[in-house]
Amino acid sequence: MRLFTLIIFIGCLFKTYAFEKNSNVVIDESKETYSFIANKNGDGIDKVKVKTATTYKATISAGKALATAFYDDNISIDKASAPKAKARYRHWIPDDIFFTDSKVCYLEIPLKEKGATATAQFEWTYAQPQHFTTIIFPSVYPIRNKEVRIEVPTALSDKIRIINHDLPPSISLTKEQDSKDGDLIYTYHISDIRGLKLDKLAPDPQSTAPRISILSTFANHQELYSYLHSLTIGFDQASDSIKSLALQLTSNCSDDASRIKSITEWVQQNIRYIAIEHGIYGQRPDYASEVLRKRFGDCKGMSVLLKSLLRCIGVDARLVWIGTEDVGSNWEQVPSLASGNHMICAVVSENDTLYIDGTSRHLSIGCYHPALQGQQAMIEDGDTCALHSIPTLPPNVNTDSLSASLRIVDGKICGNMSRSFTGINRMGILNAYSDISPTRRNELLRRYLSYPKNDFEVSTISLSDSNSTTFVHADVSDTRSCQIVGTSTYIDCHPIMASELQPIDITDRQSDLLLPASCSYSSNISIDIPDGYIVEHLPEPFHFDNDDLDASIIYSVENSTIHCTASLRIKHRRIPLSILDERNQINRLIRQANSEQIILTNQTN
Amino acid sequence: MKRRLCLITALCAILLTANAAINKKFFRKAQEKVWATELADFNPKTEIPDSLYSNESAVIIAAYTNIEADKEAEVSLSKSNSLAHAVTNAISCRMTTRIMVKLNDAKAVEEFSNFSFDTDHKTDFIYTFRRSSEAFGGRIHKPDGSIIEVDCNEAFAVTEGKRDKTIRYKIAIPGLEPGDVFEYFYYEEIWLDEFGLSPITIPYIRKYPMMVFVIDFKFDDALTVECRYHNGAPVLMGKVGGGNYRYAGIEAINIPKLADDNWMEDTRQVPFMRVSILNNTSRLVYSPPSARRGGLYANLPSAYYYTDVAHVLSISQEPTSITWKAGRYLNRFKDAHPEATPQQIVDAAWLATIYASLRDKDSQTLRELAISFQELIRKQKLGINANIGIVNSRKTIPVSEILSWMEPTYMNMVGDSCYMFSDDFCFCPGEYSGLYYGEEAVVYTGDRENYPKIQPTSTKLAASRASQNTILSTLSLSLDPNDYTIAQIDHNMQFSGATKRFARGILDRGGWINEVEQYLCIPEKDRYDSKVDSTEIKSQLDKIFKTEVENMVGIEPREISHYEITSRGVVPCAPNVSYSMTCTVDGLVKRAGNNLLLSIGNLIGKQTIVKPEHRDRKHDIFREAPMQYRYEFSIDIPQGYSADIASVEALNNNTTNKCGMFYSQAVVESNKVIVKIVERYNRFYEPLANWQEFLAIVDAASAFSSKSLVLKKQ
Repeated sequence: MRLFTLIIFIGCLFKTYAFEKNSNVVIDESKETYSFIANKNGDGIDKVKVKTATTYKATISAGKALATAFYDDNISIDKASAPKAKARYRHWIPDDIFFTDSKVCYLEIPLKEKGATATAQFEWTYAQPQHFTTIIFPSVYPIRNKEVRIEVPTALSDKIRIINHDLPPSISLTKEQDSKDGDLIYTYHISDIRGLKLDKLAPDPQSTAPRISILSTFANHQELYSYLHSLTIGFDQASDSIKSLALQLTSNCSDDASRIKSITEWVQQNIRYIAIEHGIYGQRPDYASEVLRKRFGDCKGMSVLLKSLLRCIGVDARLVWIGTEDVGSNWEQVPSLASGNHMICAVVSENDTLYIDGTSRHLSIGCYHPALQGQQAMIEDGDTCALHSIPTLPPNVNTDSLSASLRIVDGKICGNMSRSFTGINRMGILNAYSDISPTRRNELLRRYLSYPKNDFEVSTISLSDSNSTTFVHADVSDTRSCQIVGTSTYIDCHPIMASELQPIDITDRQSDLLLPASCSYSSNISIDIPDGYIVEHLPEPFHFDNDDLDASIIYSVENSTIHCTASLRIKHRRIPLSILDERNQINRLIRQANSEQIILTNQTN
Repeated sequence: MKRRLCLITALCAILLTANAAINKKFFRKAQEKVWATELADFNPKTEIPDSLYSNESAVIIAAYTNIEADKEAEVSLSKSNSLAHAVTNAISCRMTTRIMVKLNDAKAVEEFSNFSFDTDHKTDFIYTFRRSSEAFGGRIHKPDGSIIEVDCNEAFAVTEGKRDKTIRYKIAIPGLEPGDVFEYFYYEEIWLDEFGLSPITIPYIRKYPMMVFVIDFKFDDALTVECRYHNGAPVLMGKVGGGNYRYAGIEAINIPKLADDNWMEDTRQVPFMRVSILNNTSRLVYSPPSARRGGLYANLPSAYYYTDVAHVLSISQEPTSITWKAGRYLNRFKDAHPEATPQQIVDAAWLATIYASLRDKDSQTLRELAISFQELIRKQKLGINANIGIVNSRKTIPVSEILSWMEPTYMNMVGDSCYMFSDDFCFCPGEYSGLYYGEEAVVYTGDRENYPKIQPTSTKLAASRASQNTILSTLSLSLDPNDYTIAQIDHNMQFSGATKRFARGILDRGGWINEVEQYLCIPEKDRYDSKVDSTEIKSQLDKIFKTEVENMVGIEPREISHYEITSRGVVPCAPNVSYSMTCTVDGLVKRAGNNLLLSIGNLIGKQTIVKPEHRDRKHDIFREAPMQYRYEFSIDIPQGYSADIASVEALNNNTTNKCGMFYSQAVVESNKVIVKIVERYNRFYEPLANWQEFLAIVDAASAFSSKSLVLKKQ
């Protein structure tokens, strides 16, 4: 989170993220020392002290370096200095968080000419060592030389473990005993690594950048669970208001499935998601009764309320700690607070576990947010916990289907059109629909219906939702997809309406591509051939299939009607950087087939 | 007197604020005061007629603004110790904004669920001269008649600085649901010694429709209260009151919500009111001698404020270091150009003044720069005056509706030319933003110290013609012989007049300095090193040019092989901004059997499509400036193909009317399709009566943007 925040922060200040390409400012030399301080008894960790000295260099022209240290209620900044730079301390509340204790201390360091250097020094202290969890090696600036030193007193050496993630050969580790006091010293030497940059549609650097996890407080995931669980004890006791609400919501339900659905939808739609993260409230949920009273809560509060409501009707609901794909949770391998950033609920039955996310408004029961799929869930089970992975769902869970019956009138394509959405696509349209002013809803639906062309006019348009599928129906008139030139009429059918086919800029890209979801698109379009017209040209059938996607476009003529059926299935969300060039070529082939025109000829002229 | 002006600047610049936790006592007092005020319109059970408010997320049942201000004179020990004035000369002001809103859906709940409010502030400079406290309060009226009071102790303190000073509070309103009526208020008390309160804007139109809006004012007669009604806002009605107070108020009903239309200029079209509460008897803060004494003044003739401006200008200090440095730079220019005409010297003087201010450590106000420029021209003994004037852009109120000498933009008039200082690095001497075209201006003539004695001249800045504000897009397009669906484009863009503002993104401060240094003939050794990071600028330009292509053809470029800024348009010898670029684009050409369809309409960029719901317009039309877009396309017909004549002829259009024109002409000339287009909007303002003509041009441009050129396989 912090690294992402740092990149955004620097981006806001410098109005660009693109430091990597021919970066002027580089980190010439950097030394970071993390010292674990034992408590008075010498058997535990009291705090962690950090010292950093980073020398920035302007390599091409004059410039400005930005040195930062993030802190919060648990971290104190003890020193921040650099030549000709004043330390500034700012609250840092990202847009999607209502309140957080996150703050940033930063130094804007002038580098007056090419070759100029300046060293920034920071010192800070973690008051609670369990919050010292990760060191990410790269910076937004390229690094020439960096040393990261972790000092562990002998007495603590068996308590502290370090796990390396994604370290390239340019990062090496030495482990030695300090000759003076016997401290165990881990030293990472980093040389010549690129500056990080935020690529579009990329996995979060928190889960991909070269980094180490520091395990100092919890020996295993059960210990971590015990700590997290202790913060929730007593928080799920149902008050009278919760009990009566649960009964009211389920009074017309005949089975557990409908009761679970009713309660989940009520929480998702009536409890506003408001993220409040400060101090212990980063981990401790609000009381369920308080969430109900306030009608708002964060993921923890919503989960606690869901659990309480479901338990009131006899459903075995439990809290689940989880990390989204941004942090890539693996509690077993990395039993640290950094492995989680989210809380959901699980309904546990003899044969099955159903996961429910109170924050995912309009996501059907049994359909999981792509950012959670495949992630390891730590499920409450009394004094112990169970670890399970959230199922990875196939692309046909998230569908976007178009059905159209069209004719050509006065040089326009007219008719009725229906587009339906399921899974994450349904969630998207329903959330947008409920978040927009009623006077602008028709325009929103028009955009959803015509996306990505955005050029239909609609006379009537409506939205309906049934059986976890949302439909947009409309009578449309499209002036831009039909062009009459002499006796020829060119029709742009564009049957695959997917944004995933756009070219991906791979120049200087550092990261894999991460699409929002695996997804299935389909179209079934019929166009009446006007009297006196014949089909001069129909595009050839198109098929493509490989491990990542399949696509098909087929045109046919039957009884004076042109039929077009098309489909696109994005099988995997993540596409490795190494095959992005190939993917671009495939996307281009599909785009070309998708844009191929039908030609009708008017024989009456 | 001049010392006092300096004091104003210093006091405004040094704001030492102190913070405190929520002032519970003050919050309690505010709640008691606000909720105890019985206002009949604040009735949560008010019937909301569907005919007026159907399909709205929220409806404001009632809104209330109350301002009360007293003059306060009390013995102050701290003031007497510091300033030898034993008695305060203060304004004590209380302001309440109270709103009751019906929340019809989740969107409205979301919108009214988070609020923030200020901490208590104290501002010190020598002694405490400003104190303010703000309280927020809210209560939810549930459909069952129950009321939930918002507890502001649930607010979070947002802190900043090394010592974590509270800078504001944020509160999420608990218990809010669709169907509720939410009532909230902000109550603020301000105590301000020797200073006046700058204009407070009171909007009449809000985001949601309002059933009732009430304004109540109560002012101590010893204070000077000045107000203005803009764009047809309702007028305050005096009320009978007792003692030394003046009372005034307004009550309006059924006020529609803010219009959501293109081509609107809110400050010129949306009704609002502004109020200044002034302390014109101050002994420490400058007030012009012409400033009004105690009383309520509504819509005073603008001449009063022009006189205030005259007084301020007459006593304002010239920033002599800027004038002196600018003179030195100007001498370089004159030495290198002994043949320079007076006009050329004036232009160079304007550039030299900006250049000197950029090199100066201190920043100058526009008023100071105007004075400096005036002095610089006077010293040249050219027989030309750079008279100081005032004007405002259409993004703010007209100069004839100012409420203070601090509100207008100060500029210079040299003959008929206006010289205005700004931080846009895209204008030549004598050029300025199109938002000033045709605007009312007032010009002061004669010696500056005599301004108060001379009637200023009212004038209007030149309205400019569309042809003076032209974007010329020249584009050569050929198809890749190895793959006809890839288009290779050589593109030149040229911006003149007001359109240069559209090119601001590519024009950085460092580039301006380099160009002006060359123009002024500043020797290399004396040039300014602005310490800019060249890689950062390059990186930004890469992005901007990529966006330029996207804007031009609606498709992300496959590659930009070259771009170059060929003219920055900041010096008189090269007045236009221009750039050239070469790129390849994939997606402009579609296959149709053996034929090719080139989306030629994309080449004029994304055009506005006026949706059916916006075609029945109710407001006049404002554009930034009269403007003209000229496009000249040369499209190579690939070997083995011919241009379908019908598709070429279909590109022709001539929509000409009093608002402007959209004219396109396409011809085939020796294996090329040549297309020339002019899209012109004659005026920055069109009355509503001309809407259909204006719309015809917009529609013609939009229709062209969907056109394709058919290239037939031979």
